[in-house]
Amino acid sequence: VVHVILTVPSFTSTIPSLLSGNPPASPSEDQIGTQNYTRRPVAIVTGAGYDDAMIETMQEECKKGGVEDVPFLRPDLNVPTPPLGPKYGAAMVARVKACISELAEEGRLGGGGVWYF
Amino acid sequence: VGCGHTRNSRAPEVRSALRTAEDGSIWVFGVRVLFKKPNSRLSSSQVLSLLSFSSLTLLAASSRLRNTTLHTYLRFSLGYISLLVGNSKEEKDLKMDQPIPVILCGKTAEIAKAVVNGLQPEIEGLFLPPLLPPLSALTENQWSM
Repeated sequence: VVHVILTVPSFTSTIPSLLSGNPPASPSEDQIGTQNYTRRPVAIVTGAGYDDAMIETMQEECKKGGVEDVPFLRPDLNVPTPPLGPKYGAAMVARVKACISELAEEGRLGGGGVWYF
Repeated sequence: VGCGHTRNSRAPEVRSALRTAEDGSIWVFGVRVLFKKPNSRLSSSQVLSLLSFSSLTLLAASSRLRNTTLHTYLRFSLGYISLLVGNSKEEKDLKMDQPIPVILCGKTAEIAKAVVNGLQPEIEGLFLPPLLPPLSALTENQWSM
């Protein structure tokens, strides 16, 4: 994870520079993530707090920036998850890893779209 | 010539095949794929490649190709499949040095930190060494069909 975004407005303000391979004007929120912007991000992973409307807004922002080839990874809300806490994070990590690995193996990381993990 | 797939490299059928191979009557070319995560799986293209490898190996053996030709073919096939699924040390090192860059969008910093820490780069357990025998150790006589 090179950069963490905690709000949609923050996403709107930082995503154009991030997806164009440049560092953001403002640092990652709470300085979470590697902050290593030498390589362009190839996927955007969202948490369960981002609903359909938010995702659509974020996709529109990407399109405005001329980027349509970055896939969005969303949690499948039908999959049972532990309550918020350490176990929740671990469960999400496992699912995200599996999803990213699958997309990478199948060469879909540069293909856009929305994928559920 | 056999080709098998198992999630457990120490599975009884593999050990049995190896014992059979050691008596010199049958050569077994195993393809071992280890997964760190229980839900990992090969992509369709990788499965097709493995199937092609096994079927072409059978074809090569049955057609009584010249020793050197068969030897070269098997070397090439194993090397190709290793490259395909990330068997080589170089590729593992590359994965460690170049993790997949992603952006994480969360709602709370605490959970985001936990996810970021959990997503630290690691070597995915995909590799497939040939089980027996090392190709370089074979003599010309052992390749006689």
